[in-house]
Amino acid sequence: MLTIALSKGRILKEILPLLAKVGIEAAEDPFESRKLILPTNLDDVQLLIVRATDVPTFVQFGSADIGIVGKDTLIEHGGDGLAELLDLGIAACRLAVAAPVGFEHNPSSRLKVATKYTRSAENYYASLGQQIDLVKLYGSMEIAPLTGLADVIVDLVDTGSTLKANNLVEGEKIYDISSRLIANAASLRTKYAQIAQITDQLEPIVNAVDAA
Amino acid sequence: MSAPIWLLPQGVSEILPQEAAKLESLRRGILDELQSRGFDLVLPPMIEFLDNLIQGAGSELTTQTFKVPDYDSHKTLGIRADMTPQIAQIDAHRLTNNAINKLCYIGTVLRTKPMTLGGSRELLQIGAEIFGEQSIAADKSIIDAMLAVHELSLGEKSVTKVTLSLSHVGIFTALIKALNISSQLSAKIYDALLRKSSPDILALNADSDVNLGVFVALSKARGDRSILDSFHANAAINELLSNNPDAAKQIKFANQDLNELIDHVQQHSQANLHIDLSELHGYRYHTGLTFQTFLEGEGRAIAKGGRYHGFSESNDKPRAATGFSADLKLLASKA
Repeated sequence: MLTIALSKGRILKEILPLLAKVGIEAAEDPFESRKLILPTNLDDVQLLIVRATDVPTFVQFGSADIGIVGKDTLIEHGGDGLAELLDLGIAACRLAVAAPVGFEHNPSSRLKVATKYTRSAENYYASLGQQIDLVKLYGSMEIAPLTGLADVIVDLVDTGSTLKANNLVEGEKIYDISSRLIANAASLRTKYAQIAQITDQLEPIVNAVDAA
Repeated sequence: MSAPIWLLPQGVSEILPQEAAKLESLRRGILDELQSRGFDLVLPPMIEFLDNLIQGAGSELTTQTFKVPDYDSHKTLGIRADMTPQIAQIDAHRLTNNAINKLCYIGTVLRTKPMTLGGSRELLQIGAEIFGEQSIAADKSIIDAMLAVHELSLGEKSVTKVTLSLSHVGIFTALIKALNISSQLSAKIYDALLRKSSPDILALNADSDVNLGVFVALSKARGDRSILDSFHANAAINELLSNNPDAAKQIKFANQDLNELIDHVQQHSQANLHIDLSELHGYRYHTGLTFQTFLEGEGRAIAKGGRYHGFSESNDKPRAATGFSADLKLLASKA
């Protein structure tokens, strides 16, 4: 049995057509079903529906053999015990700094940064040699600078409309984000044929999209 | 609400009669097996001067080691997190005979953090090492011993469920050297390969002045033994090696070693074989062939090992060494 960990939301919407192209279809509509383990049209493949931030955890432990997860989540989790096999090119966006319109950092004070992505933010500012104070938030980051909780935020930006609506402007890009196909390091050995088949079928499909 | 005082710390557990009996009988069986294969038992101390314990090891072992102040010597002591360096010290400094030494060991090791999610911080490490034997015969003996240990703990038939994964870190080293890659870039490539991230290698390649095509190929070089040939047939690899006889020679030797080991395992064992040339576990420590075993349903390696440089009295010539180790508690839980 091959178990694939997926998360609800944007990634799921974009991954289901890709999986269908390699012959894997959920037996029930994952958006409708309340089941968290979904069978598929194939007897030996099942889907695990978990929170996006938990996908690497389930795959690392081996509860799922492979998973689909945003690069942002993967960087925060760390790659230990995982293999990052393929850039699927879906759910593309960027991790960037955003600040209130007209904000200028006074270099004599420490910059306060609100983010869900503490590891990425810490590494980014460390690479600039800048001392910061981190405020970990789980959502609605945009409010932090408006209420004085932080000076700037580090968050995912897609169209930038949420930033705009909250009077923030996008600053420096930290890196580009897209969804990745990951595998458990042990499953990659014990179930190699099955995982390689899916990877080899997906690769030309996502590369064709990239080239277009 | 206060927690009862008898609760144990995270990652530390008691072993109850049934489990303890199983563990003990397995311990005896494995030690008998290893001794019958010519490995002599040694018992290094639980605690040592920290500097000696982490000598030559990477920073990971340093952070994994519990440290305690010694009010006698006024130095810092470490509680061992890995016994292998201790065995290499015994070989170099206590058995100074320059002969081939085959040693086995079992003992508790402590780790400051569990290696896996919800894992143990207190492992019963069992292993075997061969010192002073350059030839691949030593690696064959180690792999035979490692698979025999699996057979004992899983039952004879279950060895068909074991997947033995082989790699050779000399290939990565040869490619880095051949392309004359800066230490900064090679650290990034190494980091991406550790995470088996082909996408990150491709991204590095796009940003780099040096063509990193060979590392793109390396990051995908896994499968059955046919990948040894297809890796060689890869255009980027071919081009690099035709211009670089040193690297070509090094990779040829690595290939010969892998092929010989594959033949040996196929003749003598029912275990499944997997080759993953991108595997760099313990790269900072290992110097040649490396191996790991996996079982379906267990998300991490069961046993690990490979070639490394032992310690030597004079330090001018590193002592040839190869070995494996596993956590007996993990092995027993799979029985």
